[in-house]
Amino acid sequence: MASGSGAAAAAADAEEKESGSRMITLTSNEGKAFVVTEASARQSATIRSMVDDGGCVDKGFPLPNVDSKTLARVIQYSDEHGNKEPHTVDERAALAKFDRDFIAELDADKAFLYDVTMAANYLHIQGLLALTTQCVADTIKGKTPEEIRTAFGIEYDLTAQDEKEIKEEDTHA
Amino acid sequence: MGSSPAAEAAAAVEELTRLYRELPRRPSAEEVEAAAAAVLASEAEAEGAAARLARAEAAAAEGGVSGELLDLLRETRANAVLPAIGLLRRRKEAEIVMEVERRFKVFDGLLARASRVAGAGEERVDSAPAESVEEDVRRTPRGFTGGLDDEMVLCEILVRLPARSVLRCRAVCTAWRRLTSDPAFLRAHHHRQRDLPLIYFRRGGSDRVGAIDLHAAQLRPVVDHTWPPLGYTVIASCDGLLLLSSGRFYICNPATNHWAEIPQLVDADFLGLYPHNPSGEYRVLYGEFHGEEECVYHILTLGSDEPRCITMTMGSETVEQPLAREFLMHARGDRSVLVRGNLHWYLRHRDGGCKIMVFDTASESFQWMRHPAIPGWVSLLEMDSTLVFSAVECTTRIDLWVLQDYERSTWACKHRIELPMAQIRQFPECNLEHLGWSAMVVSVEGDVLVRCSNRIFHCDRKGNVLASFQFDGQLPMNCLHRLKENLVVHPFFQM
Repeated sequence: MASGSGAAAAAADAEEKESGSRMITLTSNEGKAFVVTEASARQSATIRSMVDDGGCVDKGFPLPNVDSKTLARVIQYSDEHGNKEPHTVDERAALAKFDRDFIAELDADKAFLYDVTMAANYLHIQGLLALTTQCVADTIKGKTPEEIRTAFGIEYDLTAQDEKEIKEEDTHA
Repeated sequence: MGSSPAAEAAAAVEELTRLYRELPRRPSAEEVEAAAAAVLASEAEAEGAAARLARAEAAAAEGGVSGELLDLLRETRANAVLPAIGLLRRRKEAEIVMEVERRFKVFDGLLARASRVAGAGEERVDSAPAESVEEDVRRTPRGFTGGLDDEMVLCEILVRLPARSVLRCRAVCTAWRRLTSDPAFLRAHHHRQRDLPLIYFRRGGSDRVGAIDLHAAQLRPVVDHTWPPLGYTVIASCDGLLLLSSGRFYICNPATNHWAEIPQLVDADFLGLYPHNPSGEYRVLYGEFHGEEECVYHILTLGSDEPRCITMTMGSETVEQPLAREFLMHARGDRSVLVRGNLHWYLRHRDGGCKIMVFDTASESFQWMRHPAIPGWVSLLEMDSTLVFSAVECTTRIDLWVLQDYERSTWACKHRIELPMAQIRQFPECNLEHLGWSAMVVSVEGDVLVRCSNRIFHCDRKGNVLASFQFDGQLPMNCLHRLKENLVVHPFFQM
């Protein structure tokens, strides 16, 4: 039994060495610590460059712009993309399905979607940023300017000069 | 000159308001309720687990359980710390939610008091700030406008919109208007657009051009009936600009709906449209026959009225009239393909080897480019910034040849695609054996458009039919040009 668990530990060790994966701690602005694999953390170009610059891996990375709820969701994405490298067609399809489900869930809670978008931007997670910004773009697509203002709580601040130009552009387009 | 007590009160309210805004997002009533429940539950759960383990250990010791089993029990107990950590974490989270809510409540009280105090001395602040601020926070949750206030993120979002939506965004607000009119944004937007194959068709008695969006399986209108001339054809496409001919010649940008006539091309033989580097000008190359013996070549910069005459040269040699005339004879009305700043013509009527004529737009000289014999009925196209041949090899197969090394002119067959003609014949009106069809590879991934009867089919490189587009009336036609939407504004439309 002891030898069994020892072998498992050794295997885990070997795996860790193989993937070069240390564990990295990310701390939300509420002080909550999240421990993730290095592979997962490297999805973020921001953290990747800090790790590669020999940054304070052991002390972890405080993320003053990201709250716990958002960070948890971002980690869900980076775990899926960082820890599993898809090799087969099926694996790629599974990852695509994960992305679809992930964004569908976020799409239902717009305020949270923007939080995740901001975090993806701040952490430079290209794949996640592409996913979330495309989702926001899809909600803008097909809306009139008035509908866009309502949906995003934007104040109308165009000048009379702007309005005149817009009218002229409209006769063109 | 001390400030009035009212002004100071107003400043204090402002300071309070600012601090209020700096609080993290206020949890919703449901979140607070859930958090309180979670704290209670975690307490009960932790107590229950500890009690259960203690009871089990006590009972085991009493019942004379062996030392080894007791050790195991202790180990179990120690491991119970792990779920306990999860419990602790959830509890911490719940406590933070409750703490945030508590601070909001404190602020609510403070703001209400402050507004009363300030309101007593000054009418200006008598709209209760506590309410207005809270209203503000609720209406635009943090991150909501936060995401769209950040110009980089906003740019990242808007750059993904189709051209039509970008134009609408210009009427949203000043910030959006500025961003979506910025030339750098417009260039980024253009780069992100897909290069869509264009299709001619006729609807309601007028000619139309549509673009097939392969990913969305959609036909997008490009040039429609709002434009007067009938019987036009697309003779060139470059950076989102189309050159149309209906006897008269027009340059147009379908995305911005800008048009300009090019009168110089009437009675001339158009050869190519290209952006000139480094001037950034758009130029047209064309030729004219003068009598039986002579022809001349011209370059016209769009927006200028004065074409410039050039001498046809190959390397440093001036090309003699017979060849100059022969080239113009063959190349006129043929498509030129723009790759690496050079125009290319595949001269299918020419004997004597397989050669492509190349026009270097920087040095304004011509040269030949050799290529291997490619079997089948071939069309020269541009894909992914290189030259390709789409070659219908036999009745059911189409090949895509890609130029891999421009300098050495090495070509490779990248896709050999079996067309699903049997499947296509099963569609209504496509079931007659004698019906002709035409096919063209339209992407380096090996997407193919097949026209049969009044339908256009989109197939993938494995020969699966992915979509079918039906056209009424006159047969649709692949017009061999593609369009990549571009909202950049050109001065030659303003003339």
